Amino acid sequence: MLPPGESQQPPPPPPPPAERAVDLLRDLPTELLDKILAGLPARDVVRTSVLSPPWERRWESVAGLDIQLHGVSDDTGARGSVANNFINRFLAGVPVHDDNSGAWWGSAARFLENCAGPVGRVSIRGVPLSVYLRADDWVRAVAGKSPRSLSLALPLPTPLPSLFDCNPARLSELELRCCSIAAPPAGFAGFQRLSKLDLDDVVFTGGNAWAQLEAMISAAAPTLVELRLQNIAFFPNADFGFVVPGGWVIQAPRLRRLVLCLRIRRAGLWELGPLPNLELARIFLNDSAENRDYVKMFTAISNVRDLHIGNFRIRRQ
Amino acid sequence: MASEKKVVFLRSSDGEAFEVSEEVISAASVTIKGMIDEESPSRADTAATTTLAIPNVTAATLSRVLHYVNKHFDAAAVVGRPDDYIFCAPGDEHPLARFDDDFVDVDNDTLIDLVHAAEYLHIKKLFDLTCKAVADKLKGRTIDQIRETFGIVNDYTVEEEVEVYRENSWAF
Repeated sequence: MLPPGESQQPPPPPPPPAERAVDLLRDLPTELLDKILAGLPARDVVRTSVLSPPWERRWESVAGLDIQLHGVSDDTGARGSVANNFINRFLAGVPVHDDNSGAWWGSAARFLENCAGPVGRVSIRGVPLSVYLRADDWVRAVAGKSPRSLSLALPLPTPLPSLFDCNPARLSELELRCCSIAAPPAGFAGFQRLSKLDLDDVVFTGGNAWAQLEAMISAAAPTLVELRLQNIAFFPNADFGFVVPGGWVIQAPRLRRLVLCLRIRRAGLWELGPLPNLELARIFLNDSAENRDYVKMFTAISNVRDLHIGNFRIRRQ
Repeated sequence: MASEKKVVFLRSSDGEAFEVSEEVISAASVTIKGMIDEESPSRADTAATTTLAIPNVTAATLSRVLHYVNKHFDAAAVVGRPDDYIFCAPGDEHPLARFDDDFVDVDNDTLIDLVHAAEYLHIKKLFDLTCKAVADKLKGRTIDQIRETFGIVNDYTVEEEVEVYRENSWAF
């Protein structure tokens, strides 16, 4: 393989053997080759661009791709490691705005713009601080291609207004780390086909934002199987001395797995509605829960086979 | 007569005829089922067997396809699911998964011919199986390996090739 920027080039390859005088793959009809290539990860499909000139833009017509853009070698995409990475580089005197990663993300963004829709699963993580503010551009490009699954982990909270452009009839998994979500546009009926909703470090910024999250869950209730809500905040909230978030209810009749790790001052007083199919629950109760109806909560989770209840008292540490 | 095992003959592009059970091939191939259904009014009152021309498929490929179809039909009959005769998905733990792996372990020309035949005959599971086998020949390979496997001549200039790498740097 030829690393970019290397000045020594290998000699041109020898002519192909006589019995293989044709490019077998290019003889296939376009739709057939699209179908074959769609079975590969997006990265492998894009790599075919260097095979020969007719292949340069071949990947642009392949729909249904699963796309992984994982930048920094950070599998968790956790904010801490990216931030630590940033700090370590800063302390080591390494320029933080790394041109290389800028070019990498630039080429990845062009791919998102130009690939065929609909796309399959899209996962973006390991995003460096030099480019994370472009996240909404990526989401806009992906949303226009009706993803089946969208997973996005950012290093710092970032508004994603384009999220609501995703096709609700197709989006079945949504996983967001470190994002901020404003009120949806008027008339948005919710992501009604979600089977998995996983929000961590997500700030809701609309008015009565707890009602917005409640509505998000209710809209998906007919299909929702897995729900994880961690470190959710409604802004403006009690952290800033404004409004204590109102009560809201989690209801999803088909839900099987539930993880809740929420602070009352940020995420308000949540309640559980009937969850008859729940199998696993991991719930961290928040710190000032004198208003909680514990009987109601334990009734809602009475069917689970696997239950973890924790308590965390949050103090500034 | 329903109880009798009806057969049909399939004539390949190079003129060879293959005998196959009508029940088996109808379950397997949407295309051939359509041909048989079209023929059936005219042959209802005659004992003559039907010969169907399959102009797009050579004898070598057709015989492989029929081997696949018979094998899968028999396996489905054993477990009493003849209607679902090709139910083995790629990667299954099913005994036929081994057969499928061996079936597509062939040279590229043969494999591409099978893709074309499966598409033309509309045999979905065989089509999926062969498409996946071609994709596997691309997966995780270096660019040089793929060029060699599929006879792709690299006629980029050095500058062009570097530019394509640069444009798509995220994938490398």
